[in-house]
Amino acid sequence: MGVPARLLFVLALAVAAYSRAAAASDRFLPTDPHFVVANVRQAAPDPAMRALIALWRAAPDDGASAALGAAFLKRAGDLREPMFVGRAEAVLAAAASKPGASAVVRRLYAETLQYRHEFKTAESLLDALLQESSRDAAARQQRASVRLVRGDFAGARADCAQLLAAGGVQSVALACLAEAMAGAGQLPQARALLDAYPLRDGEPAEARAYFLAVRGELHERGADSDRAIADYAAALMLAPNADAVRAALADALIARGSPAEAAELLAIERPSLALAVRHAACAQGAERERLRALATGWLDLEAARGDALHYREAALLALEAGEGERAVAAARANFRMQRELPDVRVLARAALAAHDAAARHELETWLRDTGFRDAVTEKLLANAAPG
Amino acid sequence: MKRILFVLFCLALGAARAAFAHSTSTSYLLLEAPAPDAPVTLRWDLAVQDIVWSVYIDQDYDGVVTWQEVTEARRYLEPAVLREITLARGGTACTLRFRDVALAEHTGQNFLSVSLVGECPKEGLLAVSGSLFMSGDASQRVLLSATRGQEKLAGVLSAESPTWLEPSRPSAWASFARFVREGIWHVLIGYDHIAFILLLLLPAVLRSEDGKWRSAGSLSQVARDIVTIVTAFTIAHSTTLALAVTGTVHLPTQPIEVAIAASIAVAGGLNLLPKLSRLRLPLAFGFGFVHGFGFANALSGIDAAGTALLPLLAGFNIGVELAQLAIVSAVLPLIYLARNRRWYAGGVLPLGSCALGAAGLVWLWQRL
Repeated sequence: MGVPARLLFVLALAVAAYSRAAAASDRFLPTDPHFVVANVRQAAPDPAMRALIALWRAAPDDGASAALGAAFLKRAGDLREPMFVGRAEAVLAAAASKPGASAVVRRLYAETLQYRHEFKTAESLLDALLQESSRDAAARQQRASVRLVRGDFAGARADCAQLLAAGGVQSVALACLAEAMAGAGQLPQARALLDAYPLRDGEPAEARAYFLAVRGELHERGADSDRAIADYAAALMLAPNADAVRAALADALIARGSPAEAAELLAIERPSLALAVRHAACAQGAERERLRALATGWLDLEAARGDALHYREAALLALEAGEGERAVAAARANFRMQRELPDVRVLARAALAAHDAAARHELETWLRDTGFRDAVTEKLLANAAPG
Repeated sequence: MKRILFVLFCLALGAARAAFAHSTSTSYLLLEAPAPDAPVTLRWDLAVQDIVWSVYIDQDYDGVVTWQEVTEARRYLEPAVLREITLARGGTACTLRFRDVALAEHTGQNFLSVSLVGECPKEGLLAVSGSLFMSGDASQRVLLSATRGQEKLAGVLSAESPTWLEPSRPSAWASFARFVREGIWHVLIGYDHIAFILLLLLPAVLRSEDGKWRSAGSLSQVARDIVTIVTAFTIAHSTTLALAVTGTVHLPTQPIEVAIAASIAVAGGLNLLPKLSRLRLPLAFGFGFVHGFGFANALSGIDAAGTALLPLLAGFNIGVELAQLAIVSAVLPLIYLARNRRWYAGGVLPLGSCALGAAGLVWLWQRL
């Protein structure tokens, strides 16, 4: 399929998704007055947040916006509830656009942009913050994470090295540096760096979780799946709400041939789309179909809304359904936005499934140019006929 | 500092922060405008989670909204809804009236389904605007579906773009011209159709004699042969295109794409067998039906909202024909001039047919 034909194909998919997502279901009237319409415990503001909202409404200045925006973002993370990101963005976008907006407001606004995968705009905002104050460790850490997601390993490495030199939390700065090194052809050195670091219980749990998750990923890329799984599991114990870690652990379990264990891990209440898609891949029978339908519904809704957040999951779901063309279109769109380990792997799988030489060439060129190493991807590409 | 550290670590755990799901932040607005003199009806399906911030529904603050609470909250819901949405026609506001509230399900959740009716001026285009419960949530979207007579229209509203304007009806001529271009474009980018046409063309400057290819006679003979074959192909694909576009016949995409690839492989093989050259006409006619369904699939991917059927169908068909004629006009003089050369019947025809037929086999494999 040529590029114009692919565009038509993607357009047709979007039109079809809109039709499905926007389709009206029948209205109904419950006969039981105690019929539960909705559980809004997650959505409703608690007293502390109501107080912040009241303060912000009374005087929507920079400080009140920063406090409320940060509270919304924290709630989004604690409850895994995306509506609070939208609320944070509404507050922070207005505050960040005012002349003299504080660094905190602008950095938090950049964080909301990251949620929307607006990585380029987020990075530009962080660039400006760091130009104003090169000692802003929070902005530097945030920019490093954006650069890692976008596959800018040289840029991330510079930021991570500065964090380390500035005396930040050592485990976080080291893991950041190791991740950047591993993306730029130094996977063995990066693994050795993290192996040599004595992670202490006294460090904050989130820092240890991040360190362990990165170390797990590097072990996985170095074909040491047992150590990877152990590290991911330990990271998840420390940060049970981190869906990215849960997804990574599930991927590693599936790759090792333990789908039942992965299914058990993924069977949580209110799973995210990333988890539901993986769960569908390792569940059986009716549960598999239910999860597939759930994930398809979410993806259709996302497409209808015009969001571009879950191309990776769309590609994974299409791969599971044996739809190579659809998978490769989504995987390539995803790879243009983010280039982390799961993005690399899904593009490799999709390119091979669709026999898409251009996609394969794109990935192989990127792997060669960056020096990014991953044992699973390399095995996949080596076992398939040359593109 | 402690909070900043927390955010920092959370961020480090997943910079691509879109792992969440159960994304509501979406409402569904269905608008029906059957005729200019009839009232406009609206159905607005709202997630309770999204409006609980602005409407007092959870009266006992227990975090669970029951149907009884919804019915009792109607006195708050009604003015809140009417505050959030504005409907106008021709620039003049319509009078909106709240009819009732029920429930509807979207993505596995119950939504409050509010029914409204609008008394509007008879002239002009409709416009929907207002805060639409989006002012406090940047991720909020309204998915709008409108029915205008037989037409389906759609739109997505956001806080950044909170107004939907009914598109004016395109003129028949503008629709026709647009779909002529779409038809031409589809053939030019659809290399499988080009391959099939080339396979029909290549032997047209030859004739079969004693199981061998000989050069054909005059240009008029060749032209007559090509016109007959292309006309048969056109009649067939126009028939199935019309049947598919009008919804008379519906076939899934995948088998059609497989059959199109097969038609190329078969046509390529047939060109290697001069004895079977008489089958070219039935082949063009038979596979023309299949290619028509392929055109219909392509057409279904084009946003045709607001376009009347006749200019759409006629325009697309004529566009396809123009593109085919362009290919014939470009190729025919060359192969006509080359028809007496030994290398044409012995080289260009078999090698070209093999190459295109092999491409058909590859596409067949890919599409299976």
